[in-house]
Amino acid sequence: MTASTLALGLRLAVGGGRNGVARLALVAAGVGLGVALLLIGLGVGPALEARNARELAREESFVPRRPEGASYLLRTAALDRFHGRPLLRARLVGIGERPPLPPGLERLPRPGEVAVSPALARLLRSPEAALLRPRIPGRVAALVDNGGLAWPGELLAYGGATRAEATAEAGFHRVYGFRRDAAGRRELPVEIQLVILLAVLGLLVPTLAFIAASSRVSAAARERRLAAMRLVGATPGQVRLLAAVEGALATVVGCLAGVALFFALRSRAAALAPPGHEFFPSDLAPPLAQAVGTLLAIPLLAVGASVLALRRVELNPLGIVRHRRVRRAGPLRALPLALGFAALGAAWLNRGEFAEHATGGRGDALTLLLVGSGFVLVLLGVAAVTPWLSVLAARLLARASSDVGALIAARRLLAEPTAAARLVSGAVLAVFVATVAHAFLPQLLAATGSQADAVAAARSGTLFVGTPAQPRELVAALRGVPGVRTVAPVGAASALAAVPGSGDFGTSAVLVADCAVLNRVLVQPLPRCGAARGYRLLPPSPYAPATEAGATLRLLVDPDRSRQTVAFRVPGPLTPAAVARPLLGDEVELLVPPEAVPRRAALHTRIGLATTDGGEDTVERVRNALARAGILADVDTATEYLADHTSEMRGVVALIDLATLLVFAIAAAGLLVASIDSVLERRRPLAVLAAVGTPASLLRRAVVLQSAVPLACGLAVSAAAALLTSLLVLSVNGAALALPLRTLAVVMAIAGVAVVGVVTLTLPTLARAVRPETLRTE
Amino acid sequence: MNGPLLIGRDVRRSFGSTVALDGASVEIDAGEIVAIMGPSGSGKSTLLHCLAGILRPDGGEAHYRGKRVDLLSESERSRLRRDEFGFVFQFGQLVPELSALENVSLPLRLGGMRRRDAEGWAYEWLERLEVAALAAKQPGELSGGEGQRVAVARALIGGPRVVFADEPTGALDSLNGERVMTLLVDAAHSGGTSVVLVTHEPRVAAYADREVVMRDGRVVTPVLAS
Repeated sequence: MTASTLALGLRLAVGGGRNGVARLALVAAGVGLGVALLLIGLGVGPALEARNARELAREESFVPRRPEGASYLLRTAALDRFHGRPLLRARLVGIGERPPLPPGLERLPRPGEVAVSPALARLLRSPEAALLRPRIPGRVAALVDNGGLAWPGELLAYGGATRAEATAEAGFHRVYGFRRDAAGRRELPVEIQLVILLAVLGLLVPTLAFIAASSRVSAAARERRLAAMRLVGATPGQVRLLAAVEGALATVVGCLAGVALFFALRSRAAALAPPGHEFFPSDLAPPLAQAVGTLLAIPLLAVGASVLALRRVELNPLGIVRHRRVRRAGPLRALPLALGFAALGAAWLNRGEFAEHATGGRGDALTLLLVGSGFVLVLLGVAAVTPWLSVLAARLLARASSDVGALIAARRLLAEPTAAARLVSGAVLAVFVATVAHAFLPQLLAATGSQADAVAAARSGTLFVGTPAQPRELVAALRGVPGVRTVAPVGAASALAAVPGSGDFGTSAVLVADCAVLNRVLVQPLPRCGAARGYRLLPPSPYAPATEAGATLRLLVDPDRSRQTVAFRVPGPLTPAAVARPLLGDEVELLVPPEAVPRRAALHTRIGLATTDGGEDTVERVRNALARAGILADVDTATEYLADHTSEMRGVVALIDLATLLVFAIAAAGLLVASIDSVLERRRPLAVLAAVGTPASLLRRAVVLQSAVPLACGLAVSAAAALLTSLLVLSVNGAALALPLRTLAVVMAIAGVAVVGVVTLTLPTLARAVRPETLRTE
Repeated sequence: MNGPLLIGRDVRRSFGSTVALDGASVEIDAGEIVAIMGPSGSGKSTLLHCLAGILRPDGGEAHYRGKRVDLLSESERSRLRRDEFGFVFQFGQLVPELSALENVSLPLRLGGMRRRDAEGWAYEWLERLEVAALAAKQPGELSGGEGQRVAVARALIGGPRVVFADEPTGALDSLNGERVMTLLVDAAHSGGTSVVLVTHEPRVAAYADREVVMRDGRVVTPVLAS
């Protein structure tokens, strides 16, 4: 009995002729897309872990193995760049019988050989290679395999060297192994795990709403079929089983299609990540248990949804009685939003006290609690309030508009106020988060303290050269490089100063430079340049002990021997000077002119400032010249310098943008499925409307408004709430809001494209539905 | 205007390999109520659709007030149906999301009349068809007979010259069917409206002034109007 009912259910699900198969395909396509997106979402965490694990595996071990020190590697490495892309150049010499191999290599490169990553190999074969070759001498003898690369496009070179070279050149050190040999793996930081969890949840809600919408496609036709089954004697239990089989079959097909789509899409998805954050396709591997759980849960969910949907209709032998139980969307839905803004408003009122405490380093727990809870409430509030706003907009449209198309759309929205809003909820939340992120971005970037200086430096084509080399070596290496105009090493002397009241010495650094050199790259020129005898740098160093004019510091004569020092009396009076800490280093406390420092004091290069013609190739020539001279150095342009200090922040914002786009795609797909289903379910009334002379443009307008109204309501409330939230939170911090107009414009454009896409793809179905033939066949 | 209001001359129409009309001809006068009868599959509904400009015939001619309907463009035929004709079908003709009042007012609003005026007229028509109490109900909340009366009100509200009714009582019991037909015919007579009625029920055909019988895609009774 049950087996035959199951078989009948399968027959009903697939045997509905062309229309039946089309419906099945629509459900399966919707579910498939949802499943593929979910699997990609579940794969992001493991992908980050895999990348993290490969980076970890490259970490060196400096602890000798037993027998002690028998085999090891002499290694030197420089973190370089080529046209803005990070490039890791290492040179290796194997010592002993079994020296450790870096991950990704099958054997060590011999002197004159180099092993490179596939991306670097491609670059070396390109016409650009002329500016790169001098830094990567030798014959490319091997490729580093994926196990040795953090991400697919990584530029990495392992060059072979002789033992004599390793002895003669500075920077070679002993490596006894790599971390991949160590047991265990590093978990992702809790914050990253939390962000991934939130992102997956953020993806899950709209995707499940989308899958639910897909599995409800042609529910009315299914109900009619089941009513017909009741007429021929099916029991209510059998009808439920038939509904379950129909629901399950389409979703099982959808799940299988989703798995196939996942494998087809994952290489593209892996490449979608921001530059430098890409994954290998194989990294996007959802944990097996989670993937299997998802694939089992979705058909179960669909079966549950099909059976539950039957509770809203009474299928009796004489037809279908629908128990209309419209989910209400009343003003109570605005409560979380109101509470959220009340909390943010309270934080704003408390802002004076907060600022006072914050500068004292304590912070105001109440204000932080208000801001945190306010933010979460507003976030939930925008999703909750969207259906109510859609209802208000639909009521207004029904009352005020004289257009029949608008009336039909409005009534349709009022009939199921939460359905469309549920589909766009993901996009609404994503727009909120993206708008807040972009509103905060300038503030966050400014907090690094580097932006203004780096931008100013960009005007003068200045390069920042970080190197342990002596200032004179730096000047010599860059002399005569085409495009380089001046080279000004800013030296520093390491200083020992007595920590007051303890008898201990603390270490700090005295910057030794002509203030005119620094003034070329600082936005705020040092005051009284040339006249002042010394400057105390502000903000104060978090590490170095405070130093007063007239105090005596002990400057190191030999950087490796702390006992050999020379006395240095701090000149006075000291003039306060605000500088960008990231540029000069955290331990720097004082700036004095070169003539104030005893000749015996050892100077190391704190930073080299090279002014150039601003050409991209000049940067590469500088890097080549330093490599030729055997000087380990990080050479950054102002843009790269800025990117380095803000890359994490920009990476997070780029990921938010990407997630927003993805969620928008899900929302648009959901709206599309709902829109097509709505047309399919109303084929007969639509055909009758066309038959009685209703213009097609009116019906198209109804379709447009049905998708556009909930999306517009959601986006409007989301963007407004995001701006108000940003304004309040930024003013609590004493910052001004810079309207993220570009973000808002992009969001609106994407929303417009989504609506146009939905409508364009629905129109063929609408055109078929209103054909006169429908009057005969429906 | 002299001559018949509607003329179908040697109308042919196929759906794939199925021939629905094989040279059907018919003439209908102004104010005349004509019942097209015949067994299932004889081409009754297809002939009605061709005369009303819903379908374009493959061959032959369809005239309305001396004009070739079959030569009009899609939008011209839409306008003709909206301005000159009314329609009643067997089922599923009301927009499910709109109330009975809004459904009836649709033709007037499509014609550009203000909402308040259109709904005023619609209410009057609902009163005439004895369903004014159901004005605020949606189609899903109406019985079959009530729904058909609302549909008749919608078909007549624009003052059409012709009402095309395709099995208007097909889904109703005899009592409701007779009530709907009485209201439709009375309203048509009082407005001088022609009715083209497709039915296979002799009891319904009895409301007509004349019967046209079809078989295998052809009219087998005299073609000419009386």
